[in-house]
Amino acid sequence: MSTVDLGGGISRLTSERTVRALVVVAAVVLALDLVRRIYTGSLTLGTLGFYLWNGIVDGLVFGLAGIGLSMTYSILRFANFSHGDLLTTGAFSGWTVAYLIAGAGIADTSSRLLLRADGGAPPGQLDLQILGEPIAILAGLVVAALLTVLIALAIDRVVYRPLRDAGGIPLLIASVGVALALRYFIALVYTSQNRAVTASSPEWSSPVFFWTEGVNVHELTMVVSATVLMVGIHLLLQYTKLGTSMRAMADNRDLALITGIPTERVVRATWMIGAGLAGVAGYLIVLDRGTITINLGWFLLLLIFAAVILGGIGSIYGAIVGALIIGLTINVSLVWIPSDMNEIAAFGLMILVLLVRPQGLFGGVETA
Amino acid sequence: MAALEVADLDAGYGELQVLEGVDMTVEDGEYVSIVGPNGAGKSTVMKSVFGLTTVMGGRITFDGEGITGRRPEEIITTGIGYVPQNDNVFPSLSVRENLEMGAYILEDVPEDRIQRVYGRFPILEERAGQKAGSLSGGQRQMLAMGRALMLDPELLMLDEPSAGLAPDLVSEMFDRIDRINADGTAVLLVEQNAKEALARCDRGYVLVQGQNRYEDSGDALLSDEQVRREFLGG
Repeated sequence: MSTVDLGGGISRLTSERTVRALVVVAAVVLALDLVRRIYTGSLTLGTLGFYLWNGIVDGLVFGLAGIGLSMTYSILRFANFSHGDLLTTGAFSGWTVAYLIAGAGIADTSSRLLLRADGGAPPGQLDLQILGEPIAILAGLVVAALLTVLIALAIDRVVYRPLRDAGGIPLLIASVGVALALRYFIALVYTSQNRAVTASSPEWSSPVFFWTEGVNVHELTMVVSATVLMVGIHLLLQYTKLGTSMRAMADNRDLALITGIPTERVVRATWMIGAGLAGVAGYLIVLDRGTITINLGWFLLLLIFAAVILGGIGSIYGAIVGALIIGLTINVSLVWIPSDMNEIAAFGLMILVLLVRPQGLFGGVETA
Repeated sequence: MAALEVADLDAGYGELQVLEGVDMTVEDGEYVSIVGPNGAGKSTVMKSVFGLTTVMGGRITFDGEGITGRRPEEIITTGIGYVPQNDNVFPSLSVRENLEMGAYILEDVPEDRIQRVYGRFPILEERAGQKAGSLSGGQRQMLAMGRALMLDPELLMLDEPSAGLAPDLVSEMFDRIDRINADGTAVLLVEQNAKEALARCDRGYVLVQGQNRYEDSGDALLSDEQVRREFLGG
């Protein structure tokens, strides 16, 4: 008996070591190859800087979206598959408002309300970019957050609250249903057509951005908004009574209940924060991409899950770090592989990390 | 006047009935122990008082007010504090944050009460900024009691506070409970360590298979031939 256990232990140990060794060898080979490419000139520093910047942009927005996913997991205790469609909700509602404001007098109200479902007035005509219509875009951002919060609270009241004690699996399945319902409700209103809604971003050249001639202002907007919101969430969680009670409930829901923490109020706060950030993330993604589609959030959900799991599901800091790793991986991997395969690199990396650290990078270190 | 009065209580979990016609009282400032074999329903009595079980019959009153079937967040406002046996601190919160959560229902953090808990358990002040998950078993138990004392309860219910403690810490723990009681807080204690619990308390109940078996002063139960033979191992 003990020899069998010993054998299992040793083979597990060696396989773990093998994986570790492989990771180290692969990292060294890639790093050397990167140096070689830069030295021979087949990869310019400018291109590498471009990939790194895009990685940070993607990573921060995924992180913003991942915070809510991680929080619903740790506080409501289920994997929320409708989280991606909260991004879509934010994107559509926010850009509708941006269109209503920026397109006043240029396009019909109905066309603006349905976000160009009729193909009318293209975004260039509205000059819908951050420097052209800053107020419309800011108003859209605020509405994206608020409306997504309202929708999430309504869904919680109708769907999740009656299932509160049903366990993680029924809640997960319900959330898949919510995802489909939400997405096709959006399709019903806005049609499922992919369309352009923002004008291309202006460039800003400044010596601060030494690696590039000019930085994309929309991307800069994303980086700044995401960073500010993340710092805000960190302060809220660590230094306010609400934040402390959220961490307490993530730790132990039963104990929170007998301590007198109003658990339903904490659940509402969780939805407000998670959905608000998801709505903003969806809105900002469209600001960068320029186009909007009903599958926006659904297609990103897998990457966001990968980021959150890589970081250690349940930890918001893990979600942010995991998202930055995923963002950097899908962009920097373009040095070696074509862009329609770069997600393979991200998911492959996630698998490798989980083989060595099954609980994720921050798992078991810090909840909520 | 009885502070806590449990009368003819039938209670359990879902369909499963654990308690059958349990009667129990804790007077103001009294120290009462519940002992009995495993599975007798000792913890279930406490959970029922705190609204964590399904009450099927009987009634529970506290200070003359009916609290049968009320929810935990209401019961905590009536002056009952409860320390469950396991997982009774928030591991990722700091020691101080755990205490602050104990006073969640108050408007502001009551600094004087935090200081009073620190005075009672000085080790908690030393570890104030440390995560509760890094504390030893005995320190966790102190933190859990401190958290329950933050609302200055009239009655403190402790579920097996000596469980899992090193033997030399057990009597220290009982001393602390004595002091809490001496300061005027009524104590209801569930214990495996029956001898110690009965030696310390004013009155004790022996619970067997969800029913009252014996009730008397702690000393009388300790010296009762039958109780000794059946429950105290001679």
